Amino acid sequence: MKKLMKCLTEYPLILIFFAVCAGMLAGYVFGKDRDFSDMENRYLQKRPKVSLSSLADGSFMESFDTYTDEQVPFRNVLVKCKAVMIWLSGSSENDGIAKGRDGYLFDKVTAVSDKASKNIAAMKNFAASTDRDVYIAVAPTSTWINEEKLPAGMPVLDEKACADQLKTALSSAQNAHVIDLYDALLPHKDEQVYYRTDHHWTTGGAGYAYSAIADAMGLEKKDITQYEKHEVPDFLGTHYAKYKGVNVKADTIEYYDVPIDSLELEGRTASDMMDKEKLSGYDKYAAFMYGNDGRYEVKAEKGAGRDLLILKDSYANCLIPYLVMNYDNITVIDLRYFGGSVAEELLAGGEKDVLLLYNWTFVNEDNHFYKMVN
Amino acid sequence: MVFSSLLFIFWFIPVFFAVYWLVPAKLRNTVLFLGSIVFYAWGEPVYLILIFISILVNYLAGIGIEQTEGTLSKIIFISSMVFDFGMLFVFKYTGFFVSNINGIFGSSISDLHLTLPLGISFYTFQIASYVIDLYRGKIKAEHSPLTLGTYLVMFPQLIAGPIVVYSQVSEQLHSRRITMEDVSDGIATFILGLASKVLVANSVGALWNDLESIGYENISMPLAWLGAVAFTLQIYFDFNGYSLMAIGLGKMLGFSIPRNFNHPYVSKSLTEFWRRWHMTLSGWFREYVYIPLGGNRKGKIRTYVNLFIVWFLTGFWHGAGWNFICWGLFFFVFLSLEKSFLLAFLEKHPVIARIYSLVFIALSWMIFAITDFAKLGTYAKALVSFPSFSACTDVLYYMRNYGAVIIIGCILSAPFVSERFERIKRKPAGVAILSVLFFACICSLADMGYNPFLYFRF
Repeated sequence: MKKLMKCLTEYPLILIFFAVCAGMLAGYVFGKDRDFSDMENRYLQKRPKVSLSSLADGSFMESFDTYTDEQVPFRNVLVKCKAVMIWLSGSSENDGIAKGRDGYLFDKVTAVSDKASKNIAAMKNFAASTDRDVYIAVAPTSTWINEEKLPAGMPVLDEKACADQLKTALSSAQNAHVIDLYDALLPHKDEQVYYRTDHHWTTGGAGYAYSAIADAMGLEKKDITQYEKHEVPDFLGTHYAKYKGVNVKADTIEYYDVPIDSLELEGRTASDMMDKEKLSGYDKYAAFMYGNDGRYEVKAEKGAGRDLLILKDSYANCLIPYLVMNYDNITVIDLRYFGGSVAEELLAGGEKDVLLLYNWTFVNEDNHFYKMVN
Repeated sequence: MVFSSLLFIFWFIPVFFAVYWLVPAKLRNTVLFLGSIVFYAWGEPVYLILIFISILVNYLAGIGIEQTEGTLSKIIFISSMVFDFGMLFVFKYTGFFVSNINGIFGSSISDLHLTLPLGISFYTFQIASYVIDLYRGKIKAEHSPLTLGTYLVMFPQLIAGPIVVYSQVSEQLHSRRITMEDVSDGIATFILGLASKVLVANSVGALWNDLESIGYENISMPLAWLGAVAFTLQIYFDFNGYSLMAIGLGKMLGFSIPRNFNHPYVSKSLTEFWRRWHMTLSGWFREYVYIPLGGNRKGKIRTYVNLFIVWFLTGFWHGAGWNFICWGLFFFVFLSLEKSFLLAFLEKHPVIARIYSLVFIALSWMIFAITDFAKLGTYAKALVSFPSFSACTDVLYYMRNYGAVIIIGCILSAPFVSERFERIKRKPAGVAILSVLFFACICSLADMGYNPFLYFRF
């Protein structure tokens, strides 16, 4: 034993290396698995159970690989250190997110995927499959609107050209009306229409989009500032969850108390549109409309005589409070989590206006659009 | 399983080495064999059967060759070669030949769609060295299937080399001593390899990946050259990193695995480059293909024919695709030119020689990296089309993000840093540097988006 100790002091690297390896192993074995990473806003893989079938088809090994990556002891500290290392090397990028001017973080989308044309075709088919007017609004990304704030030379896709292509493709479709949000938002690029640390637009940004939508759909533009305004500071969004670096300015979330009768979510009912609990948590944007349920209904009877059906992604969540001012009843569908039939939703209840509201990146990358015409 | 993963470092290493060092010496081969099986089967349980069959066939062939003489011995030898290279052919090249035959004759032979068994290109060459050397009478047959099996599946070099020829390790397979010094040096080498891979190769690799997603038609000339530099660094640090990790782990096990790279980018000719790059592979081809074909001893024409064969095979070994064949033949052309007159010129002009070597090495990597000829054409165009000044802003972004790591990569490609480090690695400063590198690797692995091994495809 003494001899071993002497050797180890002579060769400290052996001691350091194996102390780290064995210590981390002990951390895995005796530590408690975490369910959820607040910092990255996602669920983590827990230690998988062994079974003969999962061993045979390799799924055990696969889950175990993920488990070792996601439950590594001191993960948050290590991940933060990596972000700092990258920052020290002078790089503006971590995990696909680049830091630009004024504390803005940007997603790097460099290519049009082949999903984009499929998704456009799906929207076209959907418009043709109904006799209603279908309004289609595609939200620009922060990268495009805030182009002047990008790190110098960062490669960007000509998103406007893509959006114009989408417009051309859809405007030939029966019943389809494309609402140009690019023109609506660009004049306001010096106001904060997008969050710095999140990919979504701000409540203010959504307001300009609402204005353009109201014009196109023939709605009376209502003033949301008549309702009480709340501000929630210290919001670090999805971009930050990937970037994780230093010198990031947190955002402030704003919302207004637009009154409703009820919000009918999947399996529960709420009396307002903000999930207040989430506002004190990490992912504050998820407070809007209680996150992304597959289907929900906002009831706000005021004798407006109009109902609305929205097919949307998360960009719509902070815009719906504006639309509530114009409609008695809004049915909202997120195709990613929706199991029913859109056609049936259209027929149910009275006449409905139809709005498709998606962010451009979502059109480029999502693969649930086919469900529109199923 | 891959070396540069938390699974390997925090689970496999402590558990395996604890068992390996604690068991009596005579059980070590068994532990190494079983540990390697777990290592291999973790990602690819199905193809384990292929490895077992290969061990069995080559073991029996070895005994057979030893026990027989003359024609019978020759028949056994040839059959085992047909088996070994037949397996490699079936699993690696069927798809290539089927699609080419279909393309030429308009036929519609259906492909088997076999996934490439991990490491088959490497372990086929290793086991072939055993049977060939045995047949040549250079070594004796291995009578324990476990020992032969251990040689074949030893996890350090099983899936991506270095290609260890049986005669190099046959003694250590039977008895080996592990000293504390070996273990300490092995850990040092492992950490250096890990850092090469995780901190340098993965970082610059992200640049190369970006270029592909932006599209080669959208990049400026300076960025195209920066991309070539990035890939040149990536493949070296990736593969050398893997080799270093293998050598380090081998040392910790008591094996001395041969060096695979000797600072290839300081070469003053492409001939020299191949004496410094993937040395165990070029060594294998020299020993088992070039020299048996007659090497340079059968006249000028035969020498060039032999070179052609070797470089064709080298290219084809790297991948079942025309671009890999072109890549191999690219070196055939340049090595032939060098052999006939260029080398004499280069020796007199060392500066030109270095620039020439680096430029053509980088260009060769483009043929290697871009498997689609149309895309390769687009990239070549980007490399030579002078752009307007304003179109070059894209390179600024990448210089800023990757400049530091590219400079570090270039410095580390030269021998002086590693030679200096070699001298201090056991001193406190060396240990401190290694500890910091190890920590940095762990941080990077904890947040890993991009972590492939380039040479796993071969």
